Amino acid sequence: MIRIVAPVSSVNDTERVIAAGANEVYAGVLTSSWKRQYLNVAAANRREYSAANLRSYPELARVVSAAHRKRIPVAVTFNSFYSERQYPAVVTELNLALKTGVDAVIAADLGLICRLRKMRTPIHLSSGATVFNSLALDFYRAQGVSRVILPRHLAIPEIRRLSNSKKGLEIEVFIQNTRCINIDGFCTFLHGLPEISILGRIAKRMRMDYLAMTAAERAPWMKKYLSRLFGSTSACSLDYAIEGAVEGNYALSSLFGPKPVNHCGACALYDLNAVDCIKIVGRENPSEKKARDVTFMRRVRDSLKPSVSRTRFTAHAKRLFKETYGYSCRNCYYPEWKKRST
Amino acid sequence: MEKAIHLETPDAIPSGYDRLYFGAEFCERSMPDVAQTSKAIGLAAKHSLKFSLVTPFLTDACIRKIICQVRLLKGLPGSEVVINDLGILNTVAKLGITPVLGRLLTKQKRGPRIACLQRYREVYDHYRSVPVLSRASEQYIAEMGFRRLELDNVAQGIISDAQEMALSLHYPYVYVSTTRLCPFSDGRNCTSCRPGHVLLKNRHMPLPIILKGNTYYYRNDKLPDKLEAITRLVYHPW
Repeated sequence: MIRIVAPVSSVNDTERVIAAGANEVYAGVLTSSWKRQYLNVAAANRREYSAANLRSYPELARVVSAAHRKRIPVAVTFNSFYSERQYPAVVTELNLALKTGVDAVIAADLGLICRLRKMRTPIHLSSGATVFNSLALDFYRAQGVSRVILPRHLAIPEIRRLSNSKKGLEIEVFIQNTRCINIDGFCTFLHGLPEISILGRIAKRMRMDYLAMTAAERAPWMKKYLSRLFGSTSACSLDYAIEGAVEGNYALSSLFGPKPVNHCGACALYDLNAVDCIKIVGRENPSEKKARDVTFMRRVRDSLKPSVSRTRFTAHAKRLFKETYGYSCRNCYYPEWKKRST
Repeated sequence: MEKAIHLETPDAIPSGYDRLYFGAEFCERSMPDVAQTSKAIGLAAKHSLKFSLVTPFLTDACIRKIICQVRLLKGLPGSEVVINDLGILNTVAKLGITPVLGRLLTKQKRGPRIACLQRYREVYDHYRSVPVLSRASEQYIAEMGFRRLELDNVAQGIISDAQEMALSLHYPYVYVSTTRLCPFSDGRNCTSCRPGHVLLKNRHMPLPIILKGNTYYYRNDKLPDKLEAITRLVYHPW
């Protein structure tokens, strides 16, 4: 059975997503001492927002304890890339994390992977390490990685091919929320800047951007206005003025601007039977949304039987989506690839 | 200081360079074919230039094509393969060709808004540093056989922690981000990049972003005052 990996950023989240059917959980930590030194923008993991993170390692210990009581494994994210300056702080925090009894570390930094391998800690290779082919799988297998989280930008046939050549590795793929047009492991734009200001921190803590974009999902005409007031200012969400031209006609303006919050790849489960885990993204989302995502994905997964046709399965997944969220799905995790592979 | 020029097609080479970089960093579909690479190797030899084959991140569909091109370099004095996908490292090593760690793997932070962080000294210095030059990472990539890595001429400047690695500096276009969902491609018949680029402007972004093909850049013509750690400059004429 494909396992559902759910995001958590509190003990309450942990209990709720496990009750909803999560098979594994993952979390990151952004401590006040780290923020004092490196702000939130240069966080120890690739969710540079306080709302996406636990605030301390004792809190991580409580998450681990709550999960382990239900025999659910916990992975902790250390998936940034660290400069020499950050290393002492990273090593300190990593040791604190390991003392809590976490079951694996999600990592991408080569130096950290080397250290974890020596410590015999299970390594889940972050999508930040950008494994796009079977030779890269072989490379990281030799580095002692136990699981590879594939980048969002792989096509379903490519994922299937990689899953068939995993040879002892576990394969995890993204299935819901936060699908950016750029390849996250190769994207070097700065995120989390608004949170440096007090107003930005308050807005983020109140999850104003999430609330605005959720409202816009239900009423797309509001998107432009809500995003101007509360939207993300991440580089990929900005409304750019476009100058110049490239030969041909391209709808470039549709690439930029506010991004939907609820990308979904549930239909793709039909073709992803060889992967081991599906990951729901959105550590910064409210508990309610996290639990709802897990419930939805569990129901879709559990309805996948060998006798079900693709058409029926897709229709069923879409029906469940509308039933769960109150609007029809329209932001597919694998849209271009569907078009290309047909 | 060694001077290199990066060309994507085997055209005439301007004078004043010691090395030719040839290939594609960001898109496997725009990687030249074997015939073009052979032609470029010949052109480099004619101009007495050393040769570096630049390779992108790769899917299984293209990896064999790239490996065929890597084989062309076997025994070619001074040749290198710039690797942006660690999957091909073993092949390059087995052929005895010098591997160079490409811009996609050196993990410099490049977003132009780093300029907003100047007053936060520790954060700013972190962003001027190169993650793959942390002692732990550098030792690890040295064990893998790398002795050189490729950096961008980022606006915030570079603090080098290099102990063993030689550094190349690419200019004037600083790569920032890339995608497989190229806005200029129909996904099927795309073999080379369309000419031209667009500028993206927004009040939150201190510099215009250049979108060329599937990749975002900004331009920085000012080379660092102190270049001791840099032993090679790589010019991109576009």
